[in-house]
Amino acid sequence: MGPGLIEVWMLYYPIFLKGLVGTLKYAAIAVFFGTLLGCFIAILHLSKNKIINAIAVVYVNVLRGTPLLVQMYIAYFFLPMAFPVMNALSKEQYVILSLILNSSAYVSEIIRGGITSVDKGQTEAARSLGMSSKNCMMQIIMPQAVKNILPSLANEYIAMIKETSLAGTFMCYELMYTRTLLANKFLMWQPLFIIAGIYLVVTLVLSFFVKLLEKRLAASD
Amino acid sequence: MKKLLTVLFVVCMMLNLVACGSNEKENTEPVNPDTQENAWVWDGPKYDEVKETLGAATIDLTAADGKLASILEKGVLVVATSPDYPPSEYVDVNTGDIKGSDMLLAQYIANSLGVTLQIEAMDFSAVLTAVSTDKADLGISGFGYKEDRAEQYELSHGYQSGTAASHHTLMIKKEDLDKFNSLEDFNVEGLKIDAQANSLQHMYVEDQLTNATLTLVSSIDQEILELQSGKVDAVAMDATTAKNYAEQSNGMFVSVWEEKGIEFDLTMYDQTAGNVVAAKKGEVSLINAVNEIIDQMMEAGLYSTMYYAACDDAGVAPGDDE
Repeated sequence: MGPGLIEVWMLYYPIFLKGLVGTLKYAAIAVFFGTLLGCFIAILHLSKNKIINAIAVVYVNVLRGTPLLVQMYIAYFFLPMAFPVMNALSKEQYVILSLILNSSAYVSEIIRGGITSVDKGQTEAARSLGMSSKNCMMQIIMPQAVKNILPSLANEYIAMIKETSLAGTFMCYELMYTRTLLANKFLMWQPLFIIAGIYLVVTLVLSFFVKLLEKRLAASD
Repeated sequence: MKKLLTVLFVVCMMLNLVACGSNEKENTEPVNPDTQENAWVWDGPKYDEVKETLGAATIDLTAADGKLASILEKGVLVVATSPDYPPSEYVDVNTGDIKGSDMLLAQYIANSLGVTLQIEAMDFSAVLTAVSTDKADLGISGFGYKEDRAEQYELSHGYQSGTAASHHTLMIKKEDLDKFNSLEDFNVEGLKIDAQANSLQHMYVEDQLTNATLTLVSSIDQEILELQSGKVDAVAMDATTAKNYAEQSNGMFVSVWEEKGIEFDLTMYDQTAGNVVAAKKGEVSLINAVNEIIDQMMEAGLYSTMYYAACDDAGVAPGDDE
């Protein structure tokens, strides 16, 4: 059976903590840039131009309809074949790139959903009061949409923390990768339970903060 | 109610595991090869020393073309590997560096070409994909010679230390040892065997144990977990790896090569002994250079030093010390 969980933790906790930092870092980068890109995609998606709209629909469907691991493999091996310039990117950058792209598809849907969830009557009222379309969006729709978007975005970050475990397949230093590291020390089952525990603690704590955020945002309703 | 009981049972089991581990502390040392007493001792040069003093083979590079020419031009040799296979390739837990006898060989090849070495770590099955898609120039990951592999890739001459490796066997739970007396005893309907996908053992099980049920896993530690949890009856691996895992298991697992001399029949394959380096198909100039470097390395007896130093550094015993 080998040493117990506590012993392994005491021996190797710096490795697990370093893995956790990597996980949080990858998730943060993915969601931050995914949000920027996702805003752009959401705007395309809401466009009345059929072609622009179709591009966004295909983008979102492809990225949400295929597994992230498949996307990582394709990005890493075949993107540089299509675009030789991308050979300059490191393996870690490809992994981050696919995380960002994947996240952007989900975030764009969150943003689009947030905007469309605001009652149409709000737009009609604002427009009939003589507000410009841009003013109506910024002053009336967005403030209400943000209340819907923020908690979902935080949840996306929590989901991303779990998704980044796939980066371990490419030997990027995150939590799941510590399993590969310690397997070299012939530790088989202990790292898995420790890793699961860390993920659980982190996601539960973050979920708690999301709940607080939701309450705070709901206060003005 | 039944569900609740199951959950309670699982929780108890887990606590039990934790408790077991801490109680055992007094009698058994934690499995930490740094502190563990190993019967095998290496008094030759240490890993870092070997790496520093590798030197280089002298080869003629004037006729270089194809990928070899572009490597020389870039000044970088990119090698893909799957670091889950000590002592051939593994990650140093403390520094995160990728080490191993294969990585010393990679360094030696880079030295000989006069370029810097860049190691890309990835999943075992991704290594060859990386080679064929030009992500890496060479794949060095304990590859053995396989015919279908040779059709898809340029494979180098074989390299191996002394009499090491070359035995491929199965590891089982100790309590099952009585059941198996020959390789044929594994060739039984319903017997479940694990092998690493695309590995040599994968081929051996497929060819020689046709009645058994083969399950493929992506890394060796998954095999161990499956054997431990009773999902499979045996796991296929090379004799060195089996020996090391058996030793680290506190008597839970045994290698049938060590105990009974059971191994896969390799005479049916027309294969190069030892491990090989893989390059993209058609890169003849590159593989010829690698062959020349490997030949010089084997002639100088350098590889054994690399292998033993890596064993020492990884805290595992080599397979050829009986």
